[in-house]
Amino acid sequence: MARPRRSAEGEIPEAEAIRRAQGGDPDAFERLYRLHSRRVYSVVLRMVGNPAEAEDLTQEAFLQLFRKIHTFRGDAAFSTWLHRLSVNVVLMRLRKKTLPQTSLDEPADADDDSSGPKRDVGAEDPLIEGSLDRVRLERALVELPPGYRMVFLLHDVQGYEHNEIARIMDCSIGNSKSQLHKARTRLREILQDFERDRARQQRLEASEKTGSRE
Amino acid sequence: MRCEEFDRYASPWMEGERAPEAAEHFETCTRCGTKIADLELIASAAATLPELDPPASLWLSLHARLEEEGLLRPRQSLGERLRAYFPAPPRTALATAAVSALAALLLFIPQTPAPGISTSSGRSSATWSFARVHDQLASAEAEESRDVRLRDPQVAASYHQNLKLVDNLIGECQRKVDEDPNDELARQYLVTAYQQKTDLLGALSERAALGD
Repeated sequence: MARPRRSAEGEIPEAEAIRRAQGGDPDAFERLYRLHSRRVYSVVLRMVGNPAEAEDLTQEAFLQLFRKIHTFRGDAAFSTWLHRLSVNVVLMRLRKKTLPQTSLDEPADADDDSSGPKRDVGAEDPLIEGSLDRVRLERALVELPPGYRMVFLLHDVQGYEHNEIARIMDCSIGNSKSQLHKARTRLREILQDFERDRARQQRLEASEKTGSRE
Repeated sequence: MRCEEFDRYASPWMEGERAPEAAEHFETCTRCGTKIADLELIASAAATLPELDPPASLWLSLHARLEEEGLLRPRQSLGERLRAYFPAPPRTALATAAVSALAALLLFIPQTPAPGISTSSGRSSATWSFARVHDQLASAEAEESRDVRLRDPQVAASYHQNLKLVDNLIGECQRKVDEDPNDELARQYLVTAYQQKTDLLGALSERAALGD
C-alpha cells in the first residue's frame, strides 16, 4: 500500500467523502481534493518538471476523476484509481510533445537509451555514497526516461506496491519490477556521471590554481 | 558466477529474493556488493523526497471548472441542513408570542455589547445576546404552556418531541459557542435552532387557536 495520508480528527473519512461526492456534495469534492492533491501534484510535477504545466495536469486529473466518480465502485483503492487517471493524463501530454513515443507497458529500454551521458570506458565506478542528497536525486530523476521515472516515483517515492503499479500503469507486475530495477540502475549511472563531472571539475580547478602559481 | 550473470539476479535480489547461487557471488564480489548498496541507497533516499504542495489557487480554479460543468450540487442552507435532521413542526402562521421572540432574536443579536468583553468583532456581543433571546423564548414557552392546552394527544406528543429535539440542539450549539465564541458555524446553527423553536411555539399557538 502507498504511504497512508494523515487525516485530521473530525474530518469525514474517505469512503464517506466518495459516497457524498457521487451525489455532488461540494464539501466532499473538496475533502477528496485535500486528501490526494499533494500526492498527485508531487508525481505530476516530478514528471513534467514545470509548475505551471503540473498545475494544469493536476487539475485535469481531478476533473476527470470528478466527472467519473459516479462510476467508482470501490473494487480498487481510490488512490490507485486516481493515480491511474493522473498517469494517463501525464503520459498523454508527454506523448503530444516531441518526445519519443512512450508505451505504458514497455517504457523505453535503458539499455537502448543513447541520450544519456557518455561514460569513460574502463574508468572505475565512482561511489555515490556520501554524495547522494535530495537535490542530486531530483536532478537525476529529470534525466530518466518517462516510463522509468513514473514507476520509480510510484514505487520508491510514493510507496506503491508492484501490484498497485501494475493496475495504475496497466502493465504486468513483472514489468513493473523490471522497470523499477532499470530505473534505479539508470539513476545510479546518472549519479555516477554527476560524480565524475564533479571530480573532473575539481581536477580542472586544481590544475588552474597550480598553473597560476607557476 | 560472473558479474554479468549476477545482474540477472539483481532485481529479485532487491525485492528480497536471494537465490543461493547469487548469494555466493554477492559475498565475494566487491563490485556487485557496491552496486546493490548503491541501489538500496537510491531507494531509501527516494523515500525521503518530500511531497510538494500545489498552489492554493489550484483548488479555486478546479472548483470553478466543476461549477461550470455542473458537477457540484448547490450548497444547502443551514436551515435546510437542520431540517433534514429534525421532523418538521406543523407549518402555520406565527402566533404573537413567537413573533415577538423572533423579533427579539433578530434585533438583539447584532447589538448589545457583552460586559467586559471586547466588541471589536461584534461576535462577543452577539454571544451575550443569545442569553437574552433564550430568556425571551423561555418566557414565551412558559406562556404557551400555561395558556394553550392541546386536546389531541398525538399532536401534543409530536409538539413535545419536536420541542425536546430543538432544545437539545440549542443546548449543544450553546455549549459549542461557550467553548469557542468565534466558532462561526456553531453561532449560525444556534441562531437557526432558536428560529426553529420560534416556529414551533408559533405553530403551537396557531394550532390551539384553531381548536387543535
